[in-house]
Amino acid sequence: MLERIYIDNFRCYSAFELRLDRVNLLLGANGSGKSSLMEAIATIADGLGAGTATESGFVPEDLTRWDARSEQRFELDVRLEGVTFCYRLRLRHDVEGYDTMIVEEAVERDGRELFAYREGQVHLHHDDDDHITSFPFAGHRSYLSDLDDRPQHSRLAQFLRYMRNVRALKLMPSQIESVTVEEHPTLQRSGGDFASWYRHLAQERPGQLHQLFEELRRALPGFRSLALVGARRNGRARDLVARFDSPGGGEHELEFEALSDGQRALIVLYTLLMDLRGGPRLLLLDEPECFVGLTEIRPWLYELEEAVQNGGQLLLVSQHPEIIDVLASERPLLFERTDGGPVRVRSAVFQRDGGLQASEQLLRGGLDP
Amino acid sequence: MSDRAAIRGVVLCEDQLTEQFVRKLLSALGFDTRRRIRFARAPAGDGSGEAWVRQQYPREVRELRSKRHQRDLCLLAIRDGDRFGIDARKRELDEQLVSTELAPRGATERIATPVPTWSIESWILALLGDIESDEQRPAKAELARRHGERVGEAIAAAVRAWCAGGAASSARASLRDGVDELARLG
Repeated sequence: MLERIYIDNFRCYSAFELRLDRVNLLLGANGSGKSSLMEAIATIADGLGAGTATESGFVPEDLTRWDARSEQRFELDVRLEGVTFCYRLRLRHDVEGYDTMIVEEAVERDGRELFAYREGQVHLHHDDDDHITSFPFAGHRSYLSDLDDRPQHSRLAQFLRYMRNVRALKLMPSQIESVTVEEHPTLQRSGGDFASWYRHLAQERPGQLHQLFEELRRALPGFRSLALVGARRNGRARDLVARFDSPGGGEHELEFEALSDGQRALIVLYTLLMDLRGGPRLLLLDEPECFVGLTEIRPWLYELEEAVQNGGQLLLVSQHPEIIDVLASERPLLFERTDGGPVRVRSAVFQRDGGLQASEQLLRGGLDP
Repeated sequence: MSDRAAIRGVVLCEDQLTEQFVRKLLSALGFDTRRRIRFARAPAGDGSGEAWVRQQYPREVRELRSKRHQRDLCLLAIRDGDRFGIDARKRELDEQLVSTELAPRGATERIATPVPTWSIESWILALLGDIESDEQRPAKAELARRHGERVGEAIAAAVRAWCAGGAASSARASLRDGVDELARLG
């Protein structure tokens, strides 16, 4: 579980620290920094997983505009199976040259260094603690993205597996294409490569598709199943289609792109649940309810709550009463900025004696300072 | 017994755990918890979740009574008994109605007010056979201690036990009373 995050000199975050729980509802006005927090965590995870080049992950435009420093710092404390991993990342931006370099990167396990990159050198500690491998490395991306699951680095691999399993979603259903040419083990933040991610899941976990289709049949009238069909253009290309009941009996197919935004969103969101049930992970969801019909938000949200109970963790941004009134019973965090300054966060303390729903209290200014 | 799947209703709960238990229980008893039963739970904050339910209760009773012509409407307000117990908790709800110039709950109204005592955790643990029938002992921490991150599975097993007659035959008065209360819904 991600227990703490520290961010300095990133967008509207200056020397910012936040402790997190299992379920975290992020509340606040537009521009209060909620999505940027998700973006910071997701970009770190991308850098450790996909090996995103540093300059295409964190960019000079992400420096805090009122801060003259060119260095950024990020820290994550992650608790896994009784031990705490601390990850630190220090970046330097060259605004004029539009270049970003890692100055320092480190992973500690209960205070003992497992990995460090500093002054152009990687220092990799083996599990036996006696053996350190050091070699030069250019800091345009994290060396950790190259590190595979070797037995001599099993402690470090545990942390990397966790970070590579983080799922971040800010769904843009209109960007989802029907065509897939290969499997993708992760889902883009927009959901744009859903067909390729679904292809991966269908290959890896075919036994879970039955439950997914059952849930989608309850959420989408007439829905029957998803399928990958055809072989256009080249032998590997497939089209993702959804099958529905036909009015006169039988069924018909619709390419994924032919579905409405709401239908696409629901299919992605329920597939995300299937993925979450397959292994506990950190889920970063930015307004997932957009495009979803009013009566379908709660049923999905209840399933999400239960899926997260089993070792997962949730950070969710929402402005929607249907979400707020459910998740406000956990640990709502209120993001605020005064006069466009740095982000401050406080626990949202609702009044329970008045009998008003959380969203209603928000609307009535009950949480205003 | 009416067609439970057709019944529309509102459920007022103190917290997420209670709501999860009631949702699964009503679903197992044949109610359409996806489309027809609306759940409302207290937010985190100052004051007690029990008080939040009590404050919401008259509003929902008034709404239910205003639609008297519509059959198949129901209301469920569930609050932990804590140290006060079943009778006191039910009396508080009636007093809440009277204080807002509403009549106390009638004998045939489709309004259920179960009182898990000591708390919902006690019910779940008792249905699983994990604790004795003493209702005077808190068990809030016991559920997490025994079932940890497997709370969802514990709830599912407790609901199965309820449906298999474990609540009706329980030595716990609040569980037996809970069965009677839910029977009021249809």
